[in-house]
Amino acid sequence: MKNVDKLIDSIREFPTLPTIYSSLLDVLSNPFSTIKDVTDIIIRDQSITSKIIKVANSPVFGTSTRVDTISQAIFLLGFNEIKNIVLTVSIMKIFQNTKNFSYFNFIDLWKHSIGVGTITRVLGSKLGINNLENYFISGLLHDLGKLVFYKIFGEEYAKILRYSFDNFEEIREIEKKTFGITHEIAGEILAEKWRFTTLLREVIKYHYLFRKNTEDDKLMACVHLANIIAIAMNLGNSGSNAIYQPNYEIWGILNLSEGALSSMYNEIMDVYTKSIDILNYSN
Amino acid sequence: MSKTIPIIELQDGMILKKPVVNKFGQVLLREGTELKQSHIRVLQLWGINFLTIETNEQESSLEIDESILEKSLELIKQRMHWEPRNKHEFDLLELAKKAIANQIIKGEL
Repeated sequence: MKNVDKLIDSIREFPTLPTIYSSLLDVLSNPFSTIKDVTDIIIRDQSITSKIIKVANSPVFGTSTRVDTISQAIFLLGFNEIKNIVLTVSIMKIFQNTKNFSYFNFIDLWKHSIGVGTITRVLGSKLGINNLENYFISGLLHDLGKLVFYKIFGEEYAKILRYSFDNFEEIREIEKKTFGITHEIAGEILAEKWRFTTLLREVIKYHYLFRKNTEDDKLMACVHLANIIAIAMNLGNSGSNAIYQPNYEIWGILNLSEGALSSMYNEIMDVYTKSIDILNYSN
Repeated sequence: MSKTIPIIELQDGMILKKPVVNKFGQVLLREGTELKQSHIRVLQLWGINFLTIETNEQESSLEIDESILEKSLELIKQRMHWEPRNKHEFDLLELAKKAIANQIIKGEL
């Protein structure tokens, strides 16, 4: 086993998110901030502005009206969702140069993340939840720790993902044996450094084991189920080939109507295909 | 069933599944409107990007050959070591079955 303290240090030394994100957090924590204040922060960085507009127009951030400017995007989607879009674009930037290894492509891990984000959002809309903010981002970032492990350990982690996939072994157990901590913990450490919300940090930590009495149990149940669905539907690859059984408690929390899941197929595929294109981090 | 499409993919005769609403919440086109290609220009002027239309895809997925669906279920069962406990878990399998069957048809598996 590797030195856990050293690993934790290297996660803490992970690149910071682009300044735009921390400046945005600062402005948003001031209750007197206006749309103009937020817009000014974002448009300072032209390269990121155009990406934000592109992502704001994707079906997962859900407005059917075309968005052409940052102020329009804020007006239509709200401060919180803009923050989530800036976070999405920032994460894409952090991971854009991640090297691919033949054992297991990083892009497949990213596609799995997009798949889980998509399904979480589609599930939320199926449940008739009014405020779908946070749904896509929670699914997208649930496996942040795996993205981190891949970035830090490269080929070594790619081999672990391949081995776990081919042999139906539980990836968390191999991570524990090899690194001393699971990807959930690694993700949690980075989420703390990156000043993520409590909600996102809980999603990163409990998406697999599932825990009640979090900031938002419904959202947590959606991510837990979306992860299983994405694995079962082969959307990307999380390193897990085994389709595991959902935690029974989620059915009571979600209270889905009969046939709701199987009726989601076309919508999931439709939104997933579009999102893969828009959220291609190498663009 | 419904599907969200970019407006440029709009074709004559498609039926609108969700109303088209502008940013002020005003309804521009009602649910159930039969769409024509000439709507594209107007929608562009209104700044609308996507539409949700009705599809018959449920019927088309029923057309998947029974043998392919069986094969799909077999592949799924090899990857799960549990039995469904309620109607939702059976439904989860139905969803997976559709996905895998479509991948078999497309030659992806």
